[in-house]
Amino acid sequence: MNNQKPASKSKLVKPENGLKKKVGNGGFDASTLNAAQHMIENNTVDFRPQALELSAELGVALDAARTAALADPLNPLLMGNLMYPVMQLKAQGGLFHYPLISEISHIIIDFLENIPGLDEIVMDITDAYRKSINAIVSAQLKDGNSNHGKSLRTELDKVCNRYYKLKNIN
Amino acid sequence: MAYNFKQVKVLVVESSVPMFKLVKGVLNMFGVPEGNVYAAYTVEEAFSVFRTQKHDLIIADWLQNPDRGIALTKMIRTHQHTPNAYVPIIMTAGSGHLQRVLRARDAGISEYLVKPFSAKSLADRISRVIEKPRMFVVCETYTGPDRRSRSEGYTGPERRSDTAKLSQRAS
Repeated sequence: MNNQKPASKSKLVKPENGLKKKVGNGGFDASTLNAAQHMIENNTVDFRPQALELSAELGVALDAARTAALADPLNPLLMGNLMYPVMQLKAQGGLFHYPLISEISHIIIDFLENIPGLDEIVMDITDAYRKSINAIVSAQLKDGNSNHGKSLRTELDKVCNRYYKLKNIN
Repeated sequence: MAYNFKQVKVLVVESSVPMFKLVKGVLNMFGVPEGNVYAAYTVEEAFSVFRTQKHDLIIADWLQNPDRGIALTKMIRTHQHTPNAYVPIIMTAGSGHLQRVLRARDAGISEYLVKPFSAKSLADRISRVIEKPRMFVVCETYTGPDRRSRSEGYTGPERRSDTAKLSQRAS
């Protein structure tokens, strides 16, 4: 008797390159890229309301995670609920003139992506980050290279590294 | 001569209005006309607009948990009512963590872009889907660009080398 599974019916398709047909050749010229970059750098979006909204969303996710993670610390939904506002803060902070928010969000994203699951310490670290976001917004601390910015990044890095050591995470 | 985007329709699926406006602004600078950049903020809205407008390019954020951007990509690639399962999809996200990129790749995206992004990095992704489109694999479990074309190459032991033969014998 043949126990082999039937070969999967997969096929390779070469789709028509409709986009190429429409745009033609030549790529992007440097002046277009410079103008677009200039537009990004000079946008006038006030990121503060959005930042506070995302911070509040993170607060709600943290509250929910504190209860639920006790029973199910590896639940990807809980982790995803924490990750989403942090990813948005990193993305939008960087584009809307709050590089410090983007930089500390990057640290927390790295941290959350590298840990196996949620526990009280993880939640405390994430909450400390959330409170930092609120402080940055209310003080309008935009410059990641200011003394405040540097010390904030250093402290957050340290606390994450202490957690890695505690849990033997490389 | 540079690319001409006048006939190109782009769907931008974003998490907030300011983000949509920023991406739209960049696309307008690239030459995509104002009226050719469409907004959507949810998976359902995005798929519905895509069905009617049949865009040439989709730029989609990772979106809300649980992984709505991934769900949208799978829907576009496999839904029975998709108007174009092969449309280029550039996924954007705040994290470039390897596992996240692999999940997006396994859902069928064409390119991945980490936010915050520069105009050049977005242009590079667009250039890649224009100039180096990949063959599509269509099977029961996956529909999307051939994932092998970006592999890092074989890193295991060389079968013909003496060392590999010895280790094979030992095992």
